[in-house]
Formats: sequence, C-alpha cells, structure tokens
Amino acid sequence: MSYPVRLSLIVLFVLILVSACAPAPTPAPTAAPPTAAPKPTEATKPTSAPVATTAPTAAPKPTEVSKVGGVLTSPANDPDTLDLHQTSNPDSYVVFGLIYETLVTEAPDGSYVGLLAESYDISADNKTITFKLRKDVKYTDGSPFNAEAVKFTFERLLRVGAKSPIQSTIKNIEAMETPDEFTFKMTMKSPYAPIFHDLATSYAGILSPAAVKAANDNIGRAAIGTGPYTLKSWQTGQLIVLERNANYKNPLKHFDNKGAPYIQERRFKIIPEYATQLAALEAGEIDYLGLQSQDVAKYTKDARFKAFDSLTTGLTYLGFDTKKPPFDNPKVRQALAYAVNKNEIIQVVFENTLAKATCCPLPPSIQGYDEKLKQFELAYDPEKSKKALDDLGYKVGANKMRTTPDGKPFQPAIYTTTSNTHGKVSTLLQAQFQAVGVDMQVKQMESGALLALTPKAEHDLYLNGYSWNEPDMFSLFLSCERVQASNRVLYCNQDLEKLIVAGRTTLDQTKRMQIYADAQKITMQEAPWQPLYMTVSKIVVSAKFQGIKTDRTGGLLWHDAYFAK
Amino acid sequence: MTRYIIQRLLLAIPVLFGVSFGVFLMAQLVPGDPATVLAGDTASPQMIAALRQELGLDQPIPVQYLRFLERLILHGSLGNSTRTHREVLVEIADRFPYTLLLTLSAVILSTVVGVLMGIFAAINHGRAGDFVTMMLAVIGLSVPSFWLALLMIMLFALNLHWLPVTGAASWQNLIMPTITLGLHSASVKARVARASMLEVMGQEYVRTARAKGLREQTVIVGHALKNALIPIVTLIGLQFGGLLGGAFITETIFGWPGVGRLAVQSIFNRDFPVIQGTVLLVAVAYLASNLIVDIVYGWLDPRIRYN
Amino acid sequence: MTNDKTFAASVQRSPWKDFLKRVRRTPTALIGIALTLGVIAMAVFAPIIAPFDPLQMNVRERLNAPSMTHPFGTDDFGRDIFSRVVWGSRLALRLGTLSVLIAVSGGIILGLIAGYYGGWVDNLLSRLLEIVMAFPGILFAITIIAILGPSLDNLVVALGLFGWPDYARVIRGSVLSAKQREYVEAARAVGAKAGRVMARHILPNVIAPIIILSATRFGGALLTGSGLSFIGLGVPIPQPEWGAIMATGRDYMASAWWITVFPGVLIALAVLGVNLLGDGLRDVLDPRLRK
Repeated sequence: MSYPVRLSLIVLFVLILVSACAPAPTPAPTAAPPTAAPKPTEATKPTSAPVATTAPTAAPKPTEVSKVGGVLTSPANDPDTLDLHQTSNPDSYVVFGLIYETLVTEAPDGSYVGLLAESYDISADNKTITFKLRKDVKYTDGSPFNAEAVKFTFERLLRVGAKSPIQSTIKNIEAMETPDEFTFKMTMKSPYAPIFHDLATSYAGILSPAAVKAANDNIGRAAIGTGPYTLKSWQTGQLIVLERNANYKNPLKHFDNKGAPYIQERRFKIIPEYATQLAALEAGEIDYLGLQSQDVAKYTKDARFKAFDSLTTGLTYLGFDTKKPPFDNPKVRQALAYAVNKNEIIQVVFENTLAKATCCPLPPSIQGYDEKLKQFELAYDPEKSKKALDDLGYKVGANKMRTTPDGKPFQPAIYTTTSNTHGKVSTLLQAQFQAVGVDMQVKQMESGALLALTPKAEHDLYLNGYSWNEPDMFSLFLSCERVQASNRVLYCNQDLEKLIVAGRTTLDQTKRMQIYADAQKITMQEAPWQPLYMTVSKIVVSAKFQGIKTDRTGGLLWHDAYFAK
Repeated sequence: MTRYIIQRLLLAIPVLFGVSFGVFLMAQLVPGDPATVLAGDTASPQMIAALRQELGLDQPIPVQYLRFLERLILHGSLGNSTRTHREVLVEIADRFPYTLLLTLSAVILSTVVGVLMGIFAAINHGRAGDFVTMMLAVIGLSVPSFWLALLMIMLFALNLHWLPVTGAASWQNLIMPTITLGLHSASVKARVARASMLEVMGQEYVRTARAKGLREQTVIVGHALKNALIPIVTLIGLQFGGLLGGAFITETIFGWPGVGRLAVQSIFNRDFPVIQGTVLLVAVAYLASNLIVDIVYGWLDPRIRYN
Repeated sequence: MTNDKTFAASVQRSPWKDFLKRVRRTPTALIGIALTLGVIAMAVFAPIIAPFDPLQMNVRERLNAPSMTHPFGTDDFGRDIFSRVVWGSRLALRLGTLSVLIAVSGGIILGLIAGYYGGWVDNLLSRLLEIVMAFPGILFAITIIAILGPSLDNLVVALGLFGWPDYARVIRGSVLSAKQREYVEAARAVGAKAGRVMARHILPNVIAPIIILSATRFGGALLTGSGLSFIGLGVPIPQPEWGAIMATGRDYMASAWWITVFPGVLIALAVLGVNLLGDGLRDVLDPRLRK
C-alpha cells in the first residue's frame, strides 16, 4: 500500500474518533445568546475588565451612572440546567434566581410581599388567592408579563416538573383563572399554609410563554425572565456569565435602588474543590467564598475582604432507623442521644464559628423555633446514657464495648455522605459513642447510594442535614407518607401526623406556631432525630463591593451593591 | 493492509457491544437509579415513581437495553442526560475539545521529556547521569499525581503567583494540569526509551556504523533513535486511550471542564445515558489508538507484516 | 500484544547464590529492598514505632505543627500524624498485596487457558480482555465501589478486577511462545494432562515477568487506591489510610500543610521502593538487559 493511502487512513481514523464526539446535527436550543464554540486557547481572561455590552435601551438615571459596572465572580459547582421546573440543584437555583422573578418574595422581616404581584388577597375559606399583577413588567425578550404567563408557567410545572420540589404544591391547586390581563386567581383543594413560602422560592419563577415556545420548550440554557440579570453565556463546566438587565425596575421597599442592579456582570465559575476555590480567592480569580472553619480566622481579618455571617435554614441531625430493631424502641434512641456532645462537635469541627448547636428540630433560622422547648432536649449526659444502656440489657463486655441483650456485639452503623464535614462529625460521634461503650461503624457513601439505601432501612443511624425554609419541613422529613422516600428515619407517629396536617392547613400564625411547638416536643421526646447543629456560613466578599445588604438570616442581598472602582 | 484494517474494525464491533452491555449491567447493579437521585432530598414516593416512568426505568431490564440499542443504531443517538436534559453527544462535545487539548499536551510533554531523558541516560549508560536520570524517572512514577497537583497549586499559584489556579481560558491554565497528567507517563517513557536505546545501540548495524567511523551524534540520531522509538509509539497509543477517561482527579482539582469529570459525575448522578456515552467514547478512543499504533508500527518496523 | 516475547522464557535456572550475587551488584535493587523492607518493618512494628494511638483524638492538640512530640504534626482531631502514617502502612501493604494477588491469579488462569488452548477459547477470552481494557479503569473502580460500598476489602476487589488483563496478556504471550518449545511439545506428545503441562513446564517460565509486573502493579494499586480514598470512595474513616489522610488535609493546604505533605511522601517512598525492587529484579532476572 502506498504512502498517501496509509496516511489518509490514519487521518480517517482520527476523524472517526473526533466525529464520534461532535455535536449531533439536530438543532441545538438556540434562544440562548450564542456562545462561541469552546476555544480554550483563545478565550479572554476570566477576570478581565467588563466586556462591552449592548447599549441599554433606557438610559439609567444620572445618579446611578457612576455606580454601574464591575464583575462579581462566585464559585459554583456544576449547575445542571436553568430550566427551573426540572431541577432541585442548589447551584442552578442561585443562577436562575437572578434571571426569573416570582409573584411574591420574602421581605427582611420574614413577611411575604409582592414582587411580580402588586398585591394579593386571600379568601375567607383560605382556599382562594387573587393576585393583582404589576402592569409595567416586560421580559428581556420584549414580550409582556401578564396573568396568562403565570398560568402558563404553573401548567408547565405540572406537566414537566416531576423533579421540582414544589410540584406537589401546584398540584394542590384546583383551578387557575385569569379574570383580566393582570389578575391571577388560584383556588386550592385545601388550605395550604406554606403556599407563600413555596411561591416565593425561585422554583416558582414566572416564565415568558413566548420565549418558551421559541426555545421549543428547551429552556435549560435559554432562560428568559423578568429578573435583574440575563443569561449572556454558559461555557459548559467552566463559566456562566449573567449580564445586568438595564431595563429592570425594582418594586421592593427594602432596596434603595429602584432600577437595574449596579453590578454589570455576575459570573459563576465552576470550581468543584474547596482547596482550589480558596486558592482562586487568594489569587483574585473569584470575589466571593463561603469559608471552611480553618480559614475563618485568617480571612475575616484580611482587609481585602468583608465577612458576613449567614444562617442556613435547616440543620444536621443524627437520625435513627425507627423501623429497625432495636432502634424502633424510643428508649434505645434516647440512650444513644444522651451520648452526643454537640458542643464538642461545634468546637472541633466548626471551630466554634461555623455552626451553632441546636436543641430542637426547627433551628433559629426557621419560623417556629421556640427557646422554651430547650427543656425537652436530650442534652449530653454520658452517665445517663450508660445507665439507660445498662438498664436495657446492653452490658459492657470484655473489650469495654457493649453487647446486645442476647450477647452479640452491639455495632450500629451510621450512614452518611462522603462530605468532609459529615466525615468529621461521624468520626467525632464514633469517639463519643465509644466513651459510653458503643462501637459505632461509619459508612460514608456517595449520595446516590445513600438516597437509595435509606428507604430500604439498611442503616441503623443516619447523619445528614435538611435544608428547608418552612416549619412544614416536618411533612417532608418526618411524616408517614414520606416513609419510602424523604423520611430517612422511616418515622411514623399518628399523633405527629395529625399535627403535621394541622400545621399545613392552619393559616392563623399563632395557632400554627403552637402546633409546631407540639410537633417539636413529640419529636424531641420520641427521638427519631437528635438535632445536632445549624451551620453558619462565613462568607467573605472582596472589599471592592459596597452597599451589600443582608436579610433575616444573614443572606446577602445584592441589589444595592456596587463595585467601587 | 486494507484487509487487516477492515478485520480489526469488524472485531471492534463486538468489543463495543460488550462494553456497552457491561456498562448497562453495572448501572443496574449500582444502588440508586436516576429517579432517586433526581428526586433528591425532598422526594416523595409519588415523585420517584413518576420520574421512573418518565425515564422508562419501570420497564423490564432487557427492554431498557433494547431501547438503548434501538436509539443508538436507528437514530444514532445516545439519548438525553437525565440531569441536564441535553443530548449526551452535546454534553460530550462541549467538553471533548478540552480533554483532547489536555491529553495532547500531556502526551507531547511526556514524550519529549521522556525520550530526551531516556536518550541522555542511555548515552551515559552506567555513569552518574544515567543513575540520576533514572532515579528521577522512578520518583516521577511513584508520586501520587493529585498530591503533586496540590503542591503545585500551593507553590506556583499561592506563593509565587505565577500561574492561574482554575479555568481553561488561557495557555497558562494548561501548565499545571499538563504536568500533573504527564509526569507519570514521562517517567514511563524515559525508562522505556533508555532500555530500547541500549538494546538498539548494542546491535550489529549500530556497531557497524560506529566502526565506519561515523560521529557518535550521527550514530545515535540517524541509526539508533529511529528504531528505539518503536516501543514509545505503543506507549503513546495506550496512554491516549487511558488519559481520556483517567484524568478525572486532575480535572476536578484544577476545575478543568473535561470528559473525565463528566464521566465520574455522571456515575454519582446515576446519569445512565451520559455514563454510556463517556465510556463508549473512551472505548472507541482506546480501540482507535490501538489500531493506529499497530499501523504506525508496521510503518516503522518493516519486518512486521499484517495479514 | 506486541513485545511480550521480550520477557518470555527469559529465566535461567540459576543457583540461589548467583542470584544474590547479582542482587548485590544492582544498586537500585538494594535501595528498593531497603525501602520495601522499611515499609514492611513499619507495618509489622507499628505498635512499637508509633508513639500514639492512631485513632486517639486530642482536641487540645489540634492542627499542631511538627514538633519533637509530634514529628509530623497533628491533624484536625489532634491525632498524631506520624502514628497514623505508620499504622497506615499496614493498610497500604494489605491493599497492594491482596489486589495484586487477585489480579495475578485471575490473569494467570485466564492467560494460561487462552494461550494453551488457543482457538475459539483464546478468541473469546481475548475479546473479554479487550472489553475490560477498553473500559476506563478509574470509572470501573468507582462503579465497583459504588456497588459494593466503600471499604478496604472492596477497594482491593475493585483494583484487583481491573488489574488482571495486564497479566493475562503477558502470560498468554509467554504461553504461546513456550508452547513452541520442544520440551513442551514433547510433554504434550507423550500425553501429559493440560493442567500438568501448564503447571510443570509453562508456569515456571512466566514467573519472572509476573514478578516484575507485580511490582509495578503494586505501586499502581497504592496510587489508585489512595486516589479513590482522596475522593471519599476508599477506606472508610477513621482508618489511617494514606490517601484518606491527604483527603482531609487538602482543605488545610493553606493552614496546615503537614497533613497533606507527609502521607504523600510516604506513598511516594513506598511506591518508589517497590518500583526500584521491580527494576532490580528485572535487571537480575532478565539476562538480556544485563551488561
């Protein structure tokens, strides 16, 4: 065979290899601002000065001109999609939360105020809510916002939103009506107290029907909303760039800025590793980072940064598999709960800064937290724990470790994630249990396996957190109907169940909080969970950004913030 | 030759089927399916059931595999990612250029450095230079690459501020991942190059060349090197296939948007279509590079004939 | 596939003394032996060498820099890193040895069968081998761990399972060439049973390449194993596995470098030891490379 033939064969093979990986000829979703094909060697530097932008159609007010500009780069894990109906990914949530707006939003005092709605009205039976919508709102593709868009959005959520955490909320809506262009009326099957919380999450952001149709329903990377930012580009696995929506108007009282945000671009840089994120912060490649405990002291003193404390809504708990003997016995659960020294966990794992011990199933960051409930806490008392275990027949054997009443080694296994923090906490729990003679095994597994194995009651103990901004978290994590799914402790108690249903349907705030106090009391005494801690994010932001505000839990609000040149 | 290539291509088909079936079986054995993972922390049993139905996971396993094959063969599609809802081929295509770039630069770096080290050691055979070079090579072989990556970040990015830490936007971004990925194979190549140089230099025709009074340089470059490079070609081929899927840890540490990270993430996310896609890609790359190696081989060494 | 014959039948039955003499003349082998023996000694005498209990926490001594009491410093639980690293050598030896054993035995059996019987058996096994080799190793290991759950033994299984094709290839090649030898042909001609021929005549001839390959794979197993521990899929906490220690240390890179640096050095030294040992053995066992 001749030389050219050989050569061309090799080229052919390389081509086969490359073409196997080239995009399919089917039309890609196009409505997103077209990103250039990745050219790793030619792209601009990520931290370069603001890129020239399309001229704003409405001239910003003169006083704001000086403040507009700057790029805020935050680290992110890999967001999956900006189709807000098809994800529950927290990184995606942050991004599409800047693009889409909701009917209502939470004000700094914890009340719910209108955002896309001007006002709302609740019927006497608590089942019908009528929203009066704002008339001056346009999507960034130019199409108008109206009641039809709201209806369209929720209907789409019902159709494709199997992954959405609020689909069941929307399913509870019996009828949706649009009496006029700017009135949206929805009637629920039963009164549902957390409705405003759910509608205020960005999962309930309102889509542009025109944009969804234009994108052929593929809006994962073609997000068009009414929000303060628009999607400029998304380089897979690298960088998402959002650009300021110059036409944006902000109706919220708690912001001084009534127009578009000042910060020109919000960038999300995909950096999976904390060690690398920290190095990137140090090198100025990102402007924002949630610190881990070991770095708090150094960076909160650093003049290059401003530090913020922000409470997370949720907590981490030690759960017991209440379906599996001997943990179906509350006495066994209580005995082990007494062995847990929460303060030591806070001290060792969180350096006394990044978490607060929690007494109760609802932490201070969620409504319904009640200090008076502390008296029911199964607080650290190793002697009580030892005595209870002795009384239950778990005698100390030859190696100083306890055996079950029928003489077998007592070696409960705790299942948890592969996260470093959970690893550390379980290591410490292991040592604390050892001190009362219980030889606990730690099984860390990636979350896919953990999510699949817990409903099968394969675990004895369970260490994980929940994250939910509403006392109705009981129905997600401790109700009978969720035993085969998100109720990871498989706990089902009819008394608690009644309270959960009552809490969901009672709209009177005082009565509702009393219900959750009772629910917490049962949970604390029965001990399917031993609540451990609520994490506190220590966020540092480059000192170049000024005017950052915070909400009720310390979350950062960026609308008044600007880049000081 | 053409017959040989066709034969090899035909043989690759059952291997690829085997790989895809293996991946499929393993995906079934892993606890948790896409539905449980997608439904996440706040899942309700109805939500999981609905997702299972939507993804066709409620079908019997053989039916699921046949559907996969049908889609692949009739439509040339690997399906959509269950995580992002985008075409698997698009997901891979977004990342493949970066993986290819990193792999190529690691292959080039390791080949140049490795071969030079090998030649240097062979020329200085038995002397201190040989010993030191080879010790360096063994050390390079023994250092955990992720450890090296962390140390490099600490030194070059944090202390000296010479290099950027993350991203894939400029050539400076490529330096640390390339070293991390190339170090190991540079060491292997140095060792192989030395051994084959020594072997070749001991052979009749090289000795003849020397005896004819040719300059040492001419002997080495003109006669020994070409033949000594044959085993290096094999290594390059093997490395090429392996690096595509094996760069996962490097890609994670440096935030490099490559296929390796996609593959491992898709295992954690139980994103079955993407797992299939990435594994098939690596398998194709492996088979193709093996074939290319064998062809190049026949070229470099006229004694080998394929039939 | 290509130059397996390099190794084939390269062993000469040399007396033990001659072997030792050659080892003594090979400095790399000596360094390798010293390092490997060092790691073995560390594992065997861990209770004596380690000044502290590797699992004992001491909350007041957290993240201490290296000192006289704690030569490698302490970690985030105040555990003595030197003691953890010393005890970790036991896990490392176990991981390396067992995973290599699995790979060797699988590889020998399948390689012998494929090489000896040839024909469709060989064809079938060769395809299987190609399938496994075409499968990206780290993904394979991660999947196995995901199926079985993370533990030292499962890590051993995962590493062993993707190690066998290397052996099978080498052995198949060696068997193919050994089959041509007169004495093997003679043994087969007089009707010796297949198993007997393989055990008596073929296996001894492939021992040298197996040993050399095993040294490399041992090092590879340590590196891959610690890599998997590094991403949280290896040896469960609180076991002092080297990769796992480094995994906890990576977040302390800026504040407590010693947690990451020392276990890394140990992995490198242990792998260096077996690699040098393998090199030395190759020089000693493979006469063609001797000068």
